[in-house]
Amino acid sequence: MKILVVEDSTSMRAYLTTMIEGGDDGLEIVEAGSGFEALKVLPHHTFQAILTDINMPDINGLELVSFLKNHPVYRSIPIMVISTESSEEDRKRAAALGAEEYLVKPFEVSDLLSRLQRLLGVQS
Amino acid sequence: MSRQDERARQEFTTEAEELLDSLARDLTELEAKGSSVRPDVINNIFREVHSLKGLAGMLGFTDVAELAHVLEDLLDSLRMGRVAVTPELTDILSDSHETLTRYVGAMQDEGLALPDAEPLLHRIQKIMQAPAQPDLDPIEEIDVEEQTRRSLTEYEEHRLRENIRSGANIYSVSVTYDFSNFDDRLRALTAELNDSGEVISTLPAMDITGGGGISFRLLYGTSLAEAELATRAGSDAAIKSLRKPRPEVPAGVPIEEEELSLRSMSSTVRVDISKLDHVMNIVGELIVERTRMEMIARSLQSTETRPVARELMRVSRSLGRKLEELQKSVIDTRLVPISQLYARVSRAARKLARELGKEVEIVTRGSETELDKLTVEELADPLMHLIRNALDHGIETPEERRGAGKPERGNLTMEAYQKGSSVVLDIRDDGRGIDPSRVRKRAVQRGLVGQDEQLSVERAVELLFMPGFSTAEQISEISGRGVGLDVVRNNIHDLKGTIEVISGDSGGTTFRIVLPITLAILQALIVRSSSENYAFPLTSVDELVRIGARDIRTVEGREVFFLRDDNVPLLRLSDAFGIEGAGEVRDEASRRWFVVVTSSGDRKAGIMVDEVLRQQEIVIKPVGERLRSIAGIAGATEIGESEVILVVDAASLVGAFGDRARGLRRQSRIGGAA
Repeated sequence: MKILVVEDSTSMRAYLTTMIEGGDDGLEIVEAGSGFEALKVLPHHTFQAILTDINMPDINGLELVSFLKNHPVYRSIPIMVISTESSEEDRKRAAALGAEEYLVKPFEVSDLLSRLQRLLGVQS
Repeated sequence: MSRQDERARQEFTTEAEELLDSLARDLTELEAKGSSVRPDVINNIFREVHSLKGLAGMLGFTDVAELAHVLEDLLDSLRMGRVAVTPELTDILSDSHETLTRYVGAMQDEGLALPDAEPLLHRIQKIMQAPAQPDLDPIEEIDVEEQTRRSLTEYEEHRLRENIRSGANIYSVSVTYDFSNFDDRLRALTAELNDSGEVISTLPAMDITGGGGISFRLLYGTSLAEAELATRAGSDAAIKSLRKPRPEVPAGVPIEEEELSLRSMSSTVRVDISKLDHVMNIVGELIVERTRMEMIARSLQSTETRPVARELMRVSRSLGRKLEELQKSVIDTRLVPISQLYARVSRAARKLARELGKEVEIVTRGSETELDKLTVEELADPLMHLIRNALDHGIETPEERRGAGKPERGNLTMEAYQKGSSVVLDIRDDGRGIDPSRVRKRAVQRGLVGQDEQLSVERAVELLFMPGFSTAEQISEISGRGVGLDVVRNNIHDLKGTIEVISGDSGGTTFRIVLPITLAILQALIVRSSSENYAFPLTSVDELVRIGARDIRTVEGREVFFLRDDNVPLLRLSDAFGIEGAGEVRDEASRRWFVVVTSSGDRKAGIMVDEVLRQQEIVIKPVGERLRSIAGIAGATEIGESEVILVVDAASLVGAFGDRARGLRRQSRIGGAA
């Protein structure tokens, strides 16, 4: 199962990848360092879930969610937005746009994994 | 902590440091431009603090996370226009940066004390308690597409409001690009549009033309009319005005002609400096190997081997050129622009000037001048000390300056430039300069000079560098930290540099620091003493003098020789390291020595050696525990033929052995007689 992680912080991205791949052998992560990169990799894989940061250069997480949820092919991929607690308003907007799950930084690895499992359950 | 966690922690810390660096740069711009700063600078600051908070939270550094969190609220208010850019605000941001830097330092080194953020938190809360200003939502004035509107972040919504308020025209610009290069094309378009306005939001969509590409709808605020915009955006962009422009208002978003930061497009790799050190060491060893090769070639000078020797020499030379190139490029990768340092110290300097009630313009020049990354790091403290001195003692208060017929606003200029393989950094103020009579008064008090002794400016400057010397009338809060110019000089010496004072008659003081561009490779003098070879870094050698036994005199029980106007104390290198001369010449009367003249602080000393062999490039390697504790040894180096020799640290040698050498010599004589 493939998961797309969109996050502009290199260390945060690496951390997410390590923790997710370490938490479940069956998960494979594809990383994107910006919204543009995410748009570029999308057609090349079939993703079971997308995790995205909100605050990013190029296009932000909300714009990405908006794109995905209005796309005939990608709209069914469940999305988890990752943000800090101060971005509560933006998180609400992401939910309004159709994001299924959210995660607040800093997070516990167990929280990340359980929300991810819930997210993957949404689809099945 | 598992290795994985440790690695994550290290990566987080590295990224945190980078964020702090960018933050310092952006804060400097904010301080310099004040309320006319570009909105994206404030947004960058916000994002940097925001990311820091995220990292700190992940690392479990709740203190950093809490400060960053409160700071983020403040910055959010700032970018949303609820808080204004004031000196108080920039001070808070600058102090916060300092505190965060110290926190991040403590993440790496558990021995460092954690700063107290409590007072900062109070200041931030206070500045945020200003009343909010409710008003009508100007977004109602325009006709944004629903999907765009819903995809705006809170910040983008604010920028849209600001653009509408300022009277800008708001357009929707739609483009469709081929999938293969949409990112480059869109970034180019965004840069073009940002030159004359602000791209507020970029919403991707499926290819509306039905092809295989991707479409974007940009929300754009600008003073441009629709026709002008159409020219700039290109023929493939569809433009729609979202509101009627107000003809009576000369609309416009203030935009500066400045290159946009396209950081995400940069192609850089982050490398741990220790890895570069390692590469540098290997290059150094290769250079040594090359020297050996040449020595072998020289030894093959007999008739039958001469052609081989010539060929070997040729190969060795060409290898030498390649190695030189390699060495240069490795050094290049270690170099960073001095602007990194400028950004940090000029903010601190501005703040300090305000605290001291002085009006000072801080000017930095030659910010692109490059120096070794480690040197730049280590230079911050001594440089800040000099700045503190200049602001506290050098530059007068506005009243004093007016009285002296000077402009009220003082000037502190830092100027860096490259000179050969060195970098010169001048720190110049237009203050009262160094007054020999004040220095004299203080020196007499401390018993450093006699009551009647006259002081030249040069001698006064030398006295300033004496340990614990200060001319400040009162130990002030700012400069009175128990650190004198002697420490600055020592810091600079540690970086293999020199510092001198140029006190112009026209008033003002200039400190000139000269530093090698890199510390990785040194020019050294190879000398021989009692059948052992040693290396002296050339930076510590003032001059080389040849003397005979009759030039040595004894003054107050100590060997000296006469150099121009001065008696310079002598030190025998073999004594200093307690080496018994194997084949010591008994007939001292006809013996001759070389004297390596060196200076430590304002003291000159001569180190006697038997022979001077040559000058050569060396790479210093650290020595083991046992040798490290001995004063006078900087490290070891290999100088061909697999010969490893000690590198002499002349300053500490003179300091530590000045007295002991005499004792040793006396002892060894007694021993010899017995």
